[in-house]
Amino acid sequence: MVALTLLALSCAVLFLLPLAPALLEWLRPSDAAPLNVVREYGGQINHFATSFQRFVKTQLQPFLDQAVSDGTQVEGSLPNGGQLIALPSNSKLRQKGQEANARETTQLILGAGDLTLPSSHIFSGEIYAHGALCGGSSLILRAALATGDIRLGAETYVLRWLHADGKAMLGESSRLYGRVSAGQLLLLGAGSRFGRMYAPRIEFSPLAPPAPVSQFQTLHRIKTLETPDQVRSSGDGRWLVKGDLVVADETWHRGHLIASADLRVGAGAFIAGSVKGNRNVLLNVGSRVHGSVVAGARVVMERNSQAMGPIVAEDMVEIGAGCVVGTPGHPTTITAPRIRIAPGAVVHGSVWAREEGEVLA
Amino acid sequence: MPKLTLRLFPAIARTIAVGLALASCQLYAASSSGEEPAPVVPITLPVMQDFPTYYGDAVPPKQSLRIKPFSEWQPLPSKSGFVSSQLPQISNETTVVALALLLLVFSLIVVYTLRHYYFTVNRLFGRQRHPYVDIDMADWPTVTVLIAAHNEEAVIANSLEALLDVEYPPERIRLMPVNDRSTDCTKEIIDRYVARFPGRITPFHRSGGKPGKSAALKDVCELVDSDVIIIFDADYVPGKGLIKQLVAPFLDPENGAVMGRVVPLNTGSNLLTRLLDLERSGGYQVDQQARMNLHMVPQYGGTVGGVRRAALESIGGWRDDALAEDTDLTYRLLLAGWKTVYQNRSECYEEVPESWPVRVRQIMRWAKGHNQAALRYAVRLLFSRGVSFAERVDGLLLLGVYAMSPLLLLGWGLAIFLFYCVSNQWLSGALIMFALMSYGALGNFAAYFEISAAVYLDGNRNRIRLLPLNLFGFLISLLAIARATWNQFFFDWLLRRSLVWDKTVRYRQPGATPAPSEAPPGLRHQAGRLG
Repeated sequence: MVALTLLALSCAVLFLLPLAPALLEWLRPSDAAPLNVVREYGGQINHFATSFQRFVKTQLQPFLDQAVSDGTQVEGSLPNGGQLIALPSNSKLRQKGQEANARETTQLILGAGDLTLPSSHIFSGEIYAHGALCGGSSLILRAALATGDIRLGAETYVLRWLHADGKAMLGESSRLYGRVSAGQLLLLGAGSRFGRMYAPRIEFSPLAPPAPVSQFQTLHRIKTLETPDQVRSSGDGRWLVKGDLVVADETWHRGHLIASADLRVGAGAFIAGSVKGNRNVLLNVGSRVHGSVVAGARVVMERNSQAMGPIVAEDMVEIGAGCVVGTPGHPTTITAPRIRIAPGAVVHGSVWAREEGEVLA
Repeated sequence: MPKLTLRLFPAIARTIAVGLALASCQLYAASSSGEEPAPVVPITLPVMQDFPTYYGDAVPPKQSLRIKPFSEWQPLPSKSGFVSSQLPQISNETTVVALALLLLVFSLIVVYTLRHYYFTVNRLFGRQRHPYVDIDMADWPTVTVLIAAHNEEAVIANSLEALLDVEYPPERIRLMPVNDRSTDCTKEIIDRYVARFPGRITPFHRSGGKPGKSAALKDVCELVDSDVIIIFDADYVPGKGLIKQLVAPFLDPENGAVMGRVVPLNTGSNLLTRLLDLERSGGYQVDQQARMNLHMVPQYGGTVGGVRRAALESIGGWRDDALAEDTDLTYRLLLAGWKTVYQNRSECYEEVPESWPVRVRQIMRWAKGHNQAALRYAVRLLFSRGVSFAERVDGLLLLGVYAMSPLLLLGWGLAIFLFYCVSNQWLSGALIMFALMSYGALGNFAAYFEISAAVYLDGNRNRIRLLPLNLFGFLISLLAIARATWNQFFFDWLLRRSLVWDKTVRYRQPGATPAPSEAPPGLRHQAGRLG
């Protein structure tokens, strides 16, 4: 009897032992909260800049006021123990000997007016300028906000974010690892690398793009696209094509074009709708797409082509010289893991390279 | 095409049956050790001489194995040695059929197990697709947000507040609460909001007509003229950026529908809600995202999702006779050349059932709807030209998901039946294998692996300890689905019973706000890690 009881007990223990952690977690929950869903974050590119500006206005304004009234550099500390330096308008940053030698400033910098930064220097704290922010070459900035323009030299590194309420101009071979945005214009030099950028107008190196040709000037001269084979169409001009789709040069189509493989829009062609290729999409020289351009792999925009809607590729986007994406009235987005843009292109809106963006030299 | 289908079916059925039987012969010969003077000849195919088969007297020629036409099959000799019945009441033919069915069920379970593994491995190590999540600027299309509400006085205000606060051009969004025959204060609450926010909310009060969400959606969609329709249930509380995230995929002209991720809010209520939280994680974080990654068929889920109006019109609108309007829509769009997109980072809280009866009713409703869609679309999908191979296979497996529960029960029954009725020892081996595979399909190996991976990707830790208890949840679902299927096929259809719309119970108290979250983007769960 004892043996049987022991056997039963052993079996019960062997059965329940693996369930012990589950039973304990059930009876004494240690991880029962709902999954954290961020509801207040809308994904705006200037989210950090806006938060920082709010912080400066609510917490740090007394330092700025004191710097203006004293007319000299003021030092102070933040609630979290960090140090800050407040400068009056148009004054030069004075540093202690050790920091000047190391060419690194760890304090948060506040400028009551325009602020000029020295060249070849590391700023590991945030920078705020209530006016324009200028800097020489080879600067490394953690984050910077200017209510006016930002003008930085070649080989500038931005580690987290940079925002100018006016224009932001960054020199050649800059590296923008975080978010960069501007209220009016963003100008990026050749050979630069970027992640996420936004401005109503983004220019890549200071080459002016060709003026866009009005659609009504040319539409009467180009032919309507002929219905391809193997097409599945719906009433609204949406064509679904099995295999490759080639839109002949100097033709136009009203509606969306979708190819299960590659899609090529010929030179001078015009699509009054969106295009999608489940592999690659090529917009030939001077072609125009009024809607989105979506590719399962790669989007290539050749010289002087235009796209008004978003450009989405799952591998790479290549944009040639003279191309225009979006319009001032209808800003849009370019998104892909890798984006390569030639000097002379113009984008109105957002450019988001998840892995690497590059301005060709 | 249907004629071809009809012609093909008998041939396919015969081929499968003969193949299964032949496989059985080989298995038997390899493992037979019964008392009967069975021909214990180790068989390799080229020397199949003097081996009794169920062909009767006809012996296959040497050096080759021929399949006799089905019509020429003869009754099994009583002492053939092949799956012979031990019971006089059960004929040998019955046991052959039972064995063939058991092997068929066994094969299906293996397929579904492999599918679970494939999805999980893809989610853990494959390339993740989130092509539209970064679109933050565009010429946004016009949107109507439908909030399905039937007796939702406890939650409708929260939902409207949250939707009024979303970041979307106000002139391009219209909120339309669909008050479907509510008998509580839902109408009054909606009207109060309409008065407070003039021009932003267009209420749709429905006092009659066919019951159910599909019918209500069908009615309201006649009034919608926007490019995109986004649908929420009244207990959902969207975040600020959610509408843009859900609309962004419609900038791709190939997409007809979008689905976001549903996250349980009341996880801490009791064991059931915690188990459902794990199950939902597996379903969305792994299943749906893997389908998205692999260009398969992510499923539109009926809420936290949307549909393009042009796509909806091209397939004839909502079907008010669909028991699961979401599944129905997914497949009709697929067959018409539209894709459904899953946005794993478009998350929204929902309430999950807090009591087992409510859960059972919910899953029974889903099962009936899914089975209805399977019967309507499986054959069309199989022979559809515009659908890729991956979509075809995944779509069929997805349609069959709820049919697996009754099949699994059938398999168990068959295994037990054969175990007691048939003399052959190898069947006990099959029984063990079947039991193992059932276990794998139910719990430890496949679905459990999927849930574990999902919890890991979500960045949670201790809740994974509850995993073994999910077995009970699975078993209850198994029985509920089997019961729903049985009722559907043998009562609802035979007796022409119509579905009684069964609204899921809400647990939130009126005025209570859902758990807010202010975590900065950098501290989010999986999103950053798997980007």
